[in-house]
Amino acid sequence: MEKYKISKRISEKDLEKALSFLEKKENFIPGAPY
Amino acid sequence: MGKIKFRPIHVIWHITNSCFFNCKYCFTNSYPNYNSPPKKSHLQTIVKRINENKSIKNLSIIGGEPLLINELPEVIENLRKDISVNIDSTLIGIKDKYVDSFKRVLFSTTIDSIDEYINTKTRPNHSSKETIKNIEFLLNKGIRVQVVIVVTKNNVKTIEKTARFLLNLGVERISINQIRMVGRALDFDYEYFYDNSKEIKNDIATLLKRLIKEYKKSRVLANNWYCDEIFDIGYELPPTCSCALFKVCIDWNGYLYPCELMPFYWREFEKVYRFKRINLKKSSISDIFNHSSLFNFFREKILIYPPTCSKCDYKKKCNHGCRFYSFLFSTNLLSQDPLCKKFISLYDVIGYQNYSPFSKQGIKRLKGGVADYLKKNSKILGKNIYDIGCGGGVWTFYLEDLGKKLIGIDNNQIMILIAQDYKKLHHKKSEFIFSDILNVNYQKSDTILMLDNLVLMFSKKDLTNILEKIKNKTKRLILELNKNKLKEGVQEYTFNSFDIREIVLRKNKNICERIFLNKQTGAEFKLKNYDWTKRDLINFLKKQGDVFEDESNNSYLIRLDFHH
Repeated sequence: MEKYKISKRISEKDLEKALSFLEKKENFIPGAPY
Repeated sequence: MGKIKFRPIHVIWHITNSCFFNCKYCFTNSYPNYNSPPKKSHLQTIVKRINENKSIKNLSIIGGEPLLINELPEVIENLRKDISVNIDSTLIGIKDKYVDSFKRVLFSTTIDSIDEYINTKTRPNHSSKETIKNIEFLLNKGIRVQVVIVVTKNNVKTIEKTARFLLNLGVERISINQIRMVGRALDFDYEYFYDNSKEIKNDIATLLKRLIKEYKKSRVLANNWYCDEIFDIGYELPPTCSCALFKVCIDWNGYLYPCELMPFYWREFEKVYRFKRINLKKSSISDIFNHSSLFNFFREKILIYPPTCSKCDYKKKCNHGCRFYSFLFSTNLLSQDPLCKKFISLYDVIGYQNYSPFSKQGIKRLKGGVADYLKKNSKILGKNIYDIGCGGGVWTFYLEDLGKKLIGIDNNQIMILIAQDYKKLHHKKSEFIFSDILNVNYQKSDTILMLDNLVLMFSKKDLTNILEKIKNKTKRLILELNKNKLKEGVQEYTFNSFDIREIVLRKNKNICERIFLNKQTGAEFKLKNYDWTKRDLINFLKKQGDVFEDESNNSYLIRLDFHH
């Protein structure tokens, strides 16, 4: 029996990458999903 | 989480939802004179809230059309100087504004084609010539511009010409985007405009390679394509969605949201999750970001990989798809992005709504004949019930409300997630198991339910195995069999707001192959169905016990009491 288990959490490393992406100036493209 | 402190770095401000134009695919559903212009004091409040939050580094002012706001130059001048500002605009009327105040701004604009006739097919009344003149005007003033080209069947032949023209003008970036299937894009004539074919993706990938090689000084990007090759060439996205982690959105009324699509679908979101949104008149960005239940809930969802993404190589390229987009299609933030074509399930094609207790369609089913049957036979059902193929728990929760103790089983993870969310938010007690039917370790129960035509998924052999597994664990099995038999051929219908083309092919006397195609998203799913007739099913079940028949408008309800 496989009881539902919550999926993996996003890693710290990826969060750091996301953070530095957003910290870069003017990375915004309208209509792009992030 | 550990070291990283979540804080608003990027703000998207929908300063208005009015626009000059009525573009066919507008994802914000803006159109002329939608709302009265904001008061100066309102704009000042928002600017004050942005300025007082020192973590904010980037601001994107979008709409609607920001240039409709007369005070826009003043807004820009009053913003903290270390905030970089991007304005998304058609640029119409820019020359009449006090342009010096826009020196710090990167403008984003959209042109679908430099051919006026083609451009106005998707962007009625919009003059690409006028926008191009305004791009040149801004570039001459030393103000930077980036341009989005939205690809449709209409402009596909002029993409390269348009892209080259703009790059030669000296724009900083171009992004060749697939339509974002939200807002008006869901209602327009997508069969005519929306092209999700492999051919177009290959063409765009090839074009991107060529342009990137030739135009080294500009950036050439592509977005919303969900295509391996384009991911590898033209994407520039963070590895995860940043909503509620580092990004916030302000709407034209001053409410703060974790996601830029949420203002347009707030009613739908509120109905499901019952959160309150907070206005910046009442609280600071920081207070709402750190303490509101809406932000905390959303953040927790963003920090988890959607289950279907966990094994995909591209999850860090597409940032796991757009969660809010998933919500719109499934009532769940952790379901698969409907435009992603990997690991597709039947629900990703026909939608989740009919099987979700959150949705209108799901709730509507509780007024039908099956609900009456379950209520009428409440005593016979007993206390302990398994709901096999429970979906999002529509029947599970219905029976719980009749005083039963339920365990729901489904082999679709998203459905189980929907059920778990409903359970948590509505304080229900039913248990849910994500599993195939035969892998469950069944405990003693009074009844096992197999509703919603689930029986068509099973051959005689499958059903024999299931009965073998459950017969000593339960007193009875109740099956629902739809009265409408599968007919060979092609039929088109609307299901959960999707336009579906269903093709039924008969493989042999008992087996049909059903191919479902979602015409909006292009998703396709093949399903093998065993063509049980009522008589065959009853004769088969009679070998196992006593069979009782009943019926509702659309289906037969067949009860098997096991001989013990």
